[in-house]
Amino acid sequence: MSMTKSSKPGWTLSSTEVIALLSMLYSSPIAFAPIRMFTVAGESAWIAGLVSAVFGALIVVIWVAVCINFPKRELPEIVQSVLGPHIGSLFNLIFALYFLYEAAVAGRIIGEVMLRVLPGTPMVVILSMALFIGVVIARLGPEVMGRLASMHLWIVSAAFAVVVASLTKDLTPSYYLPVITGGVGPVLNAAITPTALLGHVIVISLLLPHMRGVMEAERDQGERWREGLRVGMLGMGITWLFFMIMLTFEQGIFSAEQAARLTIPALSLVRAIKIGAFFERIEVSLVGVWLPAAFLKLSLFLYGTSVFTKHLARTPERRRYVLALAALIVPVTLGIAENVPEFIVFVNGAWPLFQLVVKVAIPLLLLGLLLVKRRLSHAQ
Amino acid sequence: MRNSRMQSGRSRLLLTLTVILLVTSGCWSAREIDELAFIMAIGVDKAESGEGLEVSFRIVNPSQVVSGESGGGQNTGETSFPVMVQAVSVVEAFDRLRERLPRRPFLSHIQLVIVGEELAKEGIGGILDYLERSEETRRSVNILVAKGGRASKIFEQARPPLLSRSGLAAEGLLRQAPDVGHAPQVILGDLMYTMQSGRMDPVVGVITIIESNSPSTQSLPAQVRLSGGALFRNDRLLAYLDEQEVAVLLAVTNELRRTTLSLTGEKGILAGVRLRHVMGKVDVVSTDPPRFAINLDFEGILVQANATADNNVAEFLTSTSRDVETLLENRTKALVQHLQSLGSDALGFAETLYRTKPVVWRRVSSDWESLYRTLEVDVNVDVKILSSGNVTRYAPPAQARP
Repeated sequence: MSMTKSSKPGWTLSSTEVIALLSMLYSSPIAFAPIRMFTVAGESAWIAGLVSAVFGALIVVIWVAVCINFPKRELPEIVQSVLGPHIGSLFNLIFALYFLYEAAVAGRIIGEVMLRVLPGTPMVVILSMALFIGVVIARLGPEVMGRLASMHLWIVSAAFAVVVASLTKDLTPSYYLPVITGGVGPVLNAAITPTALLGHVIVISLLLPHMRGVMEAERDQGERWREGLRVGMLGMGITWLFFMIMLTFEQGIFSAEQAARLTIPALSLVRAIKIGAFFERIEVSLVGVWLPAAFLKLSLFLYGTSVFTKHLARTPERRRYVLALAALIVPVTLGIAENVPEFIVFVNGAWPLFQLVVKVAIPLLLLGLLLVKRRLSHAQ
Repeated sequence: MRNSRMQSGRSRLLLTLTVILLVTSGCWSAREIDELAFIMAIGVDKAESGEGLEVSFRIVNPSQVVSGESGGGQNTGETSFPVMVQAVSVVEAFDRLRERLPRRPFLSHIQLVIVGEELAKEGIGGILDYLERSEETRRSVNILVAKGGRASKIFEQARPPLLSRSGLAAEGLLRQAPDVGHAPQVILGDLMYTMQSGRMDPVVGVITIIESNSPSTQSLPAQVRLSGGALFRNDRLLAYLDEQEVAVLLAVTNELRRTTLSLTGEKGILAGVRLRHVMGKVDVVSTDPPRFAINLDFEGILVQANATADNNVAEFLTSTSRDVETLLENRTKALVQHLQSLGSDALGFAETLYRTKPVVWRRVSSDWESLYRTLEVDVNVDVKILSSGNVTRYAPPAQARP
């Protein structure tokens, strides 16, 4: 029996699974990002949300442009190919630390949201639960994550349909006005936070090498480019759409001034769902829908950390590192901030700027060096 | 073989651990339903001694709720019972409540908060802050003011004969409020918005207890009435608006679903008109100085006509429409003047200016208080009576037998 392309070892993810997995990254931006957007841009926050889609699309273009040049190779290998073994290792260390910290932030977001629902439960217990599930999924790898995400995407879509259907009647159109009263500056400033979070599409660099079909090495580069863009744009686009729904509804229901004061605006929003006297208090169910997506994001970044660690340690197997890295994440997560307001300041302050360095500046550098190398080789 | 057995054992262990973690991690926050006391309403008054607060609670009596809702069983008592405590703050009141209640007070199902008049005059910011911060309360909890008295009196005496979740019937009255137009339905979230923005003064519904003066009805249980509005400035009660003023205010702020108007003449009621499909809007006419227009559009149904409209029904409906327009125009102008005299912008002129002309708002916001008192406001009312009900003509009683 001849082996088909799709059953070839190493090509384990379908494009739908990659899109679904990227869509699960919506779990982060909806939690705390709107607070800074409402604070900085006021009523123009929804415009900043629209702007972030453009920036997010540019990040997709950058990462796909980097990845299609190295089919079947994961990010650590790409970095070393472009930057050489020594500088490459240094940049891989930066990526490893970034992925580790991102997993820790994901764990803290899960903890803070769950504490609103289970206020008596210690943070460390919630975090242990999240990391335990994260370890199991991360050890199983992208194939399992992709399958879970493609199943869960339908449930998430249904949950968002419930939010839209039940809250549209309560929107106050005047809350979207006035816009751009302070000029374009605050709008662009407010767009930084969601852009940094939409930049989570960086994980595409770890997923495309596992994708079946056109991403395989023997295919034409143009075909790989189109497919990579399609997958990246759809994945990022769905994340952005979910984020935008929450942002616009938070503004339309609470007003920008009030939403900026809320600890977790998304949670307050789903608490406002009320149809008649019977369909209310469904926030626990909606948090239950959000939670698997947050677990998947945590697993994805834990998986990414293990891939970089494997590469840095020059070992063939990454699974052995997952549990140890998860144990390392616990003190990092708890040490990020002492309380929620401090955590909100962190995720809306220095963290997005560092994220943009990793997600935009470094791949641009890689892309630039790649073009220079290609020019030089053509000239020779 | 050994490897696969080991793997299967490991998978089982992982599965067991996952299930244990998922099931037990919420145990710290466990709240058993039979250990909770469901608070349906809170009343807050200034303590009669002058120091601290008197906080009243209406707590669900589960056994009565079950017997009342089962249909077959006879409801022998009330669905809720009142408890009053004295405390320095609302937070302490909950601890005091736990001193005398065998169950944990649970706020998640609270329907309304009633504030006594004296406390409302001193300021309710602290109480609202507590409600907003509490993880159990919702932003949809209704806020009311007990006019001319204390909330505790309503909690003690009100015994509405029809079952309601709070035992005070007020949440049912609030649900009907937009269909009657005599009282606003204000929830915590909206109140926080208007109070914090500083561009609009909130008007909260007014609840009173109906005193029975007639000897024949004195033995009946006391009931509550929802009518009128309590006008706040910042977080303090400023004045009361009567039900006619509230109806106009709700129409202008587009919160009115329907209301009924009676046109009276020398011989009593001439016509009754039910207004629906209300569209109210405040528009900026000019900016230097700011001048506004209140535009009100109504559709109506003639629900009563004590007049012989000859045979020309259409003409009668048109003339009645004009009469209603005049009546509403006069009431709107009177309300604007009343609010201007109080220096209270409850109709949202500043809010409209901020939303639609932010540059102008920035220019005038510092002088708004003085500017508002002399603001010129045009009032345009358009009423279309579309139907005369099931009959087209008034049938006067025959004067003599044929």
